[in-house]
This record gives sequence, structure tokens and C-alpha cells, in this order.
Amino acid sequence: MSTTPNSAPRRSDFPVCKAIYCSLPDDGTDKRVLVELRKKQGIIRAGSATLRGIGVLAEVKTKRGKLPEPDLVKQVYVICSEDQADEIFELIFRTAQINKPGRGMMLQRPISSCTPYELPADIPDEETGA
Amino acid sequence: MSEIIYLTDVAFITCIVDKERSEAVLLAARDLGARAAFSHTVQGWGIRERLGAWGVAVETEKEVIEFLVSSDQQDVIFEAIYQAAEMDAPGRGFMFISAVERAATYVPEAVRKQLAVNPE
Repeated sequence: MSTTPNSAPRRSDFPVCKAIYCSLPDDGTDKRVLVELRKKQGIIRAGSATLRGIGVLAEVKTKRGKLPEPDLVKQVYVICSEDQADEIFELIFRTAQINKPGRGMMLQRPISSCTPYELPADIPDEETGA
Repeated sequence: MSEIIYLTDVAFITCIVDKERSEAVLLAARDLGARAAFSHTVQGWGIRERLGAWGVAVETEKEVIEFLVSSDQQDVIFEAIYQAAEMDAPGRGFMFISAVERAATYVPEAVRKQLAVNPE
């Protein structure tokens, strides 16, 4: 990628990527997933947001013609390269136990281009402080 | 450990509407078979809202609603949401469908057996 002052980066300089979104229960799974992604795959282009969700298979009582009360859910988003996508998808699936009832769902979408992201070198690590 | 069952014929519908229309949108989609929805609130500034008093932009709270639906249902659900949100009127909001390469979630054992997919 060329970043000299005279030639600004163009969209074609940035690679095709994948976005993986997963909706998880609000029980700390999102933090566990983010920690695993950073430790095992070095992923830092990721985050978590709080949403309201209505589950697929949840049994809830509600009046006819009315919606049930939504649950608080965490949506984790991850941006990764194409060749990392399979491993990351599987890592999230295993860590969040998506194959169990009530554990949420995940999906992968194409991204036509994505800029790189690096943290400054002098920021101390959250766990070790080093 | 069971293998991942990838769901591939799915689409993602995103809909940005006024808060008061969000329930109508959710009910319309649910009546047509959409079973999972996520929503969150956002603040938007419409392009014409600077025409308010003193020319100051007026904050407007909108609801972003997302549905994961099967590909063969996407057109009917999209049209039902369009009608429920009254998107043919100016300023009501907008919506779009985006591609999903694959999805995964819990698939009940009865469904796995019925489809002879990854029976445990």
C-alpha cells in the first residue's frame, strides 16, 4: 500500500475482507469471545454492542397480536481477512457454544474493502500492564 | 463435539424506521415467518431537519431493526415491512437487503434428524 504524501491511498489498495457478526446472550460471552480472538488470532478489529433481541425458539407468553418483551443481547462484530474467516468463524462458534439452545446466532457477510487498524505501540496491555 | 451446520440461503434485512413504527414492522415480519429480529436505537439527523426553528438540526430518534430471513422469503418480508413502515411516504426511513455468506445457530435435534444433517 502506498501512503506517501503525494499519492493518497485508493480504495483498491485495501483488501476484500469478511465481517462476522454474532448475537450472544448478555452473560459475558462477548468478552470471552473478544479475548479468545485477540489471543489466538490477533484480532483487534472487533467490538461488542448492546441490542434488544427477540429469539427464534424462546418460549414466552404474550398477548395475541403483541410482541414479547425483548431480551438484552450482545452483538459482537469482527472484521478479518478472507483467509482467516473460516478459523475465526469456528473459533467463535466453539467459544460461544452457538450449537446450544439459547446461545444466539452468527453470520458472515462480505466486505468489499477495509482499512488496516493497528494500536499504538506504547499502549500497555490490559492484562499484564506491560 | 458436533460439527458446525452452516446455513447458506439466508439474507439480512436492515430497516431504519421511526420508533413508533417499529412494532408494526416487527409484527408484519413475524406474521410472514421471520423469527429472529434485533433492534437498537440510533439518533439521526435528516437532511431537511435544518429547516426547523433557528435553522438548528433537530435530533430524531430512529430504530434500526435487523432480520435474518431465508432467501426465498426475503422478497415477501421486504415488501411487508415496506408497507408496515409506510415507506412510500417521505421521511419515514429506509431499508435494504444485504448478502449473507453463511450463518450458524442452534438447530434442534428433530430438525437435524428430519434433514439427516449431522445427527448426534
